[in-house]
Amino acid sequence: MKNILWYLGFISILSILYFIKGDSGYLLFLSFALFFFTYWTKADERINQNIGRATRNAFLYTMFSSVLSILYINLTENIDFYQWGFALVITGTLAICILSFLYYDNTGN
Amino acid sequence: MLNDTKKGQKLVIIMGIGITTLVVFTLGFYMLADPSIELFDIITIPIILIIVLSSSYLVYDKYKNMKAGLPTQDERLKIASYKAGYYGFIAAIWSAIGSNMASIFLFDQDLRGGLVVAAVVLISGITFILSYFYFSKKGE
Repeated sequence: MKNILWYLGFISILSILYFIKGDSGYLLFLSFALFFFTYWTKADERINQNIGRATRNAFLYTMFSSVLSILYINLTENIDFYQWGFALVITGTLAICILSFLYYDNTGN
Repeated sequence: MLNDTKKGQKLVIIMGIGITTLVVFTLGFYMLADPSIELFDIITIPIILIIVLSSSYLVYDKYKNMKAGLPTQDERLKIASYKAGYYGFIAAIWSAIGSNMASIFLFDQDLRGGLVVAAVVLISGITFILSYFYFSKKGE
């Protein structure tokens, strides 16, 4: 499997927007720079498979949490929940990806 | 897991049919209930239909294999689903960040929260489906 995870590191460039817009929220994009380290990962078949399974779980979480957020907001008409829903989707996706990878890597399942 | 037993395979197929029916029903209900459909809805409806049709094909393919006494998912398809999930995940992250950024740069305004979430679902969903078909046909 071709390693394209490290491309996510380029999102960190968006933190430059802090100097243009002055919103400190943009600095959070710097955390994506950690993905650059995956470029040097020496992956074997097992690690590749574990990455595939972890990202698949994260993808499934993205789908379910997004759909549930939209459904919740439509039912309650609570528009303010969108920003929380968005944060829930993104942070949850990254957390699920990392935790799943650690689980598969440690248990060998 | 679920695909390992005959009963589990049946359950996966029934779940697939149920979810597809639910999506089609919701889409139909939404279209009938709200006659004032905006441009965004007109664009998203065909995309949702593509996802529904592709998912239906996958469910049908599983059912066909089960009827023929074959495993519903072999090792090759399992790896294809891992790879597709990998690309779907990358697409989800990029679309979540990129859709709003593109809107700011192109139209100088933030995208409505709902549209960002919708963009994530649609872009990553389409990426997953296309990658799955590509890798399952390519066989690598």
